Amino acid sequence: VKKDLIVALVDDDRIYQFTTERLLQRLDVHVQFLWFRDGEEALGYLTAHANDAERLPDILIVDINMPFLDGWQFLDAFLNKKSEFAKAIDIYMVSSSNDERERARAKETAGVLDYVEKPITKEKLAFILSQHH
Amino acid sequence: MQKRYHLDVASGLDQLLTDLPSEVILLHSPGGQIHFASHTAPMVFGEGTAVAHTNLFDHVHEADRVRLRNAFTESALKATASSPLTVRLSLPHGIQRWVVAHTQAVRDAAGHVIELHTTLRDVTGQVDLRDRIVEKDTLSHMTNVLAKVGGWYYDIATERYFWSDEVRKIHEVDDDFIPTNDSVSALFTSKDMQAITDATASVVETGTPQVLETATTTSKGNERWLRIFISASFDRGTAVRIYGATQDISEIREREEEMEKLVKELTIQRDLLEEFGSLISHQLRGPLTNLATIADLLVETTDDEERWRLMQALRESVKGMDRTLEEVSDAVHVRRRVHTKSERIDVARLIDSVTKELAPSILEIGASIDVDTSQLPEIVYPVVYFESIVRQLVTNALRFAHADRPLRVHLCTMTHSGDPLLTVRDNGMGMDLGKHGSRLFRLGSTFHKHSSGRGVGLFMVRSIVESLGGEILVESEAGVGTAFTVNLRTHDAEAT
Repeated sequence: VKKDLIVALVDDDRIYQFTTERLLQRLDVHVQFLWFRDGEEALGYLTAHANDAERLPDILIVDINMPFLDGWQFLDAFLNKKSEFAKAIDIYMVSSSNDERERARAKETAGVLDYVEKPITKEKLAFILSQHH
Repeated sequence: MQKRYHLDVASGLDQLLTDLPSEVILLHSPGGQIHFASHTAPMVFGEGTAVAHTNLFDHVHEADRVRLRNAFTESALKATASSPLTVRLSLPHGIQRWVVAHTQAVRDAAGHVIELHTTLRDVTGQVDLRDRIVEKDTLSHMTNVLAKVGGWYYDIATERYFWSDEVRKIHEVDDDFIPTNDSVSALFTSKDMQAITDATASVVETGTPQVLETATTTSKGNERWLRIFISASFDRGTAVRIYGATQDISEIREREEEMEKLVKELTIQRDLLEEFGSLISHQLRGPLTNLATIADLLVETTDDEERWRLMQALRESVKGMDRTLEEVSDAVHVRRRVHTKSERIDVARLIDSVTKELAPSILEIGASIDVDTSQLPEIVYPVVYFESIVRQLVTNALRFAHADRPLRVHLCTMTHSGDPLLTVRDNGMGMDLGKHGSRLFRLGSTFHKHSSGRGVGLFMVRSIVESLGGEILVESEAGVGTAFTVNLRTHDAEAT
């Protein structure tokens, strides 16, 4: 039996979390959904379960604009610890910004699969899920 | 053969010193009729000009004839030598030559004047050179006046100064001012004078000219900026004279400072624009994209309970957007009203009124606020803005109280380097400025988890302070507390 994918959202926007979860539910795929309100919370979880492949997310969708640690700061910390995690995690950076510099930065950063502009639609989510092998 | 001395003054002089004077001796009647011309006549009158048995006045420039004739008459009548006279010769081919005429009477044995003896010495070279020097001097004077530059020198052995008129004008000294080591030193601060002395010493030692910029106070008490160029002349390896040029660059300096100020203002405006761009894409576009998604979900939903939840989310998004918009438009408002009049503010009273207004929150978290305005009880500032700054900073402190201890906020005013300062120090949560420092005063930045901030407050404080010419600084340590220092300098105050 193929295990459910675990999709984690790192984003401080509660409404966005709510809508993304709803969209995932409507995709007719079995996914587990995790939500972290900021980078520190996400890092705490990932570090705590570094050896537990069952609980580590497969896909991380990280908002760039967050209070406290912003998306890029989180990414730096994450990439530093990457080798400690029991499985490979796909990283997507998202933002409501259409700023080309952020898109370029995401494309240049090794370890980031893509930059996704908000709003995240059902189609975009389906594509992200389909990219995971 | 016509000599010209138009090359340059120095080489013209050299040439003159080595040239033998061209001179002709003439014997002639008082009426100018030439009986005899020495063999040197062609040197003065030019090759091929007949001189003997012509009339001298035919060779003399029309305008100079009367003067020469008077000299001849005088010599003939008084039987004396005339004083030297400079006249022009008009020679063939439009050539003109300057000569100095010396005339004396020639007498016979009985003492009667029989003819006149005149020597004409060609001084064209000297006259050209004189004209050239006058022209050069006038030109350099005009250039110097326009550039506000003056030359000077200092003779090391005699400790004597020479100052040109321009230098005297730059320092606004009276006609009886004599530059000496003491009187010159008095025009500069001791620190600036030391810099000038050091530069001079280096020129004397290395032979490399130096340029320095320094402030000065003129004899009339005006502040000026000078650029001083210093070089030296050497005799067998020893410096004998310090040469220099002094330029008044006050206007240039002033313009530079204005430019700098303008660039600073423009930079602030540009940063602001960028912040607005980022605010729109994050704080406003974020909730907007949520609305779009919620709308899509609503269309597809048939379940009533789910519809209700989506409607709640919709309402919350709209409310959030509305609040953000309101705060942003407040901030923009502040930016626009930059020319509010400053007034004298009783700081303690104003802070008191703000804390009374905030009393409910202060009581709720059990904070204590103390105020020390003993060092600076009054500040001149637009009162609305001052109030706004105090309210924002105190609110900020109240918002980030540390959970483990009662919040203490300390407000203090003082003067530093002539600028009024306000510090607001708290023992709250603090933050890691390494992480957030650069974003702290930006629009739409929030740093604390679960905070209600929209990230507009500190941005607004910065907007006010900067638009009036001051600045705001922050020190903070995570878990210890935060201190904001606001420099309440204003452009108005600078002007007075």
